[in-house]
Amino acid sequence: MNRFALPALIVALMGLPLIVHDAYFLHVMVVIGINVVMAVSLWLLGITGLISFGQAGFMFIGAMTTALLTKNLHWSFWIALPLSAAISGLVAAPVGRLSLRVKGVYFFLVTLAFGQVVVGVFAYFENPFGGWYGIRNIPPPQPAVLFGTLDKRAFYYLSLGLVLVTCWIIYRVSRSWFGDVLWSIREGDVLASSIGMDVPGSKLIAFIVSAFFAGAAGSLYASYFGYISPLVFTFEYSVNILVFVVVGGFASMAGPIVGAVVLTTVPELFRVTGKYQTMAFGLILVFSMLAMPQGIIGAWQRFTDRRAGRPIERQSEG
Amino acid sequence: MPLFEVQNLTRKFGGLVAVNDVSLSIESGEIRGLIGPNGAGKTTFFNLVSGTLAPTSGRVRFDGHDTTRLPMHRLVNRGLVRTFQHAQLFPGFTVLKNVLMGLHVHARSGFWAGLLDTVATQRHNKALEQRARDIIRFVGLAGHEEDLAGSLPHGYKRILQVAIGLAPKPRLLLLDEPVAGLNHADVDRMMALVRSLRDEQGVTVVLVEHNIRAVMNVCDRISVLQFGRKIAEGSPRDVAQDKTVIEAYLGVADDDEAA
Repeated sequence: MNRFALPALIVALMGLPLIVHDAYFLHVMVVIGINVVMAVSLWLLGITGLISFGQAGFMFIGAMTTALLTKNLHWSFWIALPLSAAISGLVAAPVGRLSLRVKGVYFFLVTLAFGQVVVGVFAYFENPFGGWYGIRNIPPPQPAVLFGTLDKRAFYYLSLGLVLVTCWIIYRVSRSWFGDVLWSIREGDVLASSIGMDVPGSKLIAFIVSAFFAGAAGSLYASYFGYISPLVFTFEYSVNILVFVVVGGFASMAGPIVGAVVLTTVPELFRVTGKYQTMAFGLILVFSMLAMPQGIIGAWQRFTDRRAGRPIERQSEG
Repeated sequence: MPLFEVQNLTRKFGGLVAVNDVSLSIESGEIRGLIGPNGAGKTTFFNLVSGTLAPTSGRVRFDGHDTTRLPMHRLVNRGLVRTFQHAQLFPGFTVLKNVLMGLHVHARSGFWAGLLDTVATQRHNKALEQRARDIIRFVGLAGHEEDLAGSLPHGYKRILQVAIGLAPKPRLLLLDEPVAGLNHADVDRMMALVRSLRDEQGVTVVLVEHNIRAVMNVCDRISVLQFGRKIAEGSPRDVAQDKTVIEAYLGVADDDEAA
């Protein structure tokens, strides 16, 4: 990619609300932002070779923390946001310790169970978690003049800010030596530990960081929608996030971003078709998996490689 | 004092005693061969002393310290590295990146180091690249730095494995069947490499090998395992003439199963 492309894209995204005022459009953009943060957080775990189905659980923990802190304790959202992320990361430490003892499909089952346990616990205790009814009237961030109105622009910038911070941090980590350790574990964990890499420790850090950002996304969700319930952070949502990453492609961080953007936008385009919306989504999914098994980014790389006459390779650099 | 000492090492899998009361000691600068028929417990022995598998009983001492139950990644810091029987490398990385990752213990590799990514960290890790190139040249893979490891011919893959194992600067390198499946020319090249590891890099080497010719040529001393027990030890010449060893490999008239 051209080195001006990324700054230009960021400037364009920042200027967008100045041109487009449509509330529905901005709403979709906020949701895309939340989904991008979720997808990128899951991708960090993915480059370690781990697939988690419990990401919505960590998001729920972050959302619940923000809901309780801002509504019941009247804390500021700006304190609740980092705290929600931190608590989600804190919960991830023991959960990761236990679940990372197993590999492959067993890890997938343990994380799936974790997601269900979170939903179960929050649904069971009506006080303070609101039970199946969830929690409503979660206050928006301060100042209320900006966030408390029907104008979505403040939330658009908040969401964009969270996306940029998340992507910047995870990109840096993924490109560092620590990121290379994660890639190495995916390539061959036995060899990785034989050259001195702390495989369980590195996996645990990736798991915690991943949960941290899922918690942050949950926090934003809670304050944006003002309503959370166990029916939102379901197993289905965890699967959706994974689908974003798989359809986008694992090879680079652009994958989960593109995946989340495309797969959040496309169903919106089909909203007019009413009950056929999910069907259209499903068809696109099947088609993209058949046509682009390496994801959208993988297909794009193949395309540019072929045009540049380079041999087609698997992902190599981190 | 020996560099590496194993005392009464035993490992049981249920009723099977895979390694049975094996003791050996290896001096610094030695090239030691570990041979034995299939199922003799050679690879299990390697797994036990390299922290891959916990022994049922017995002790392992490396450089004067008890390392019996240390996990593999901690042993690397102390200077003990092993390679694996089946070409273990990072197939999706380039040759250079493979060796570079072998330098992991010398890198600033933590999560926070990566997040902060200071100039000092960048410079430190960048400097390792030169060392990786030196190692690649030393093992004779110069010119292949940018090739994908997974696409190398088999002989080069095995050499790359040794290069990765050499990267952490071990004092003791355990090679698990480094010439398995190689042709004559590649075997000779590997054996020359093993010898130069000792002569030029000062690395003590233990190799498990099926290829008797290779072992006889390169090793100073050879230990022979059969059914988990050490049945002989000595110079290649002594071992080759040892009656129990010949029986273990060729079998005796009334015991074909042992062959």
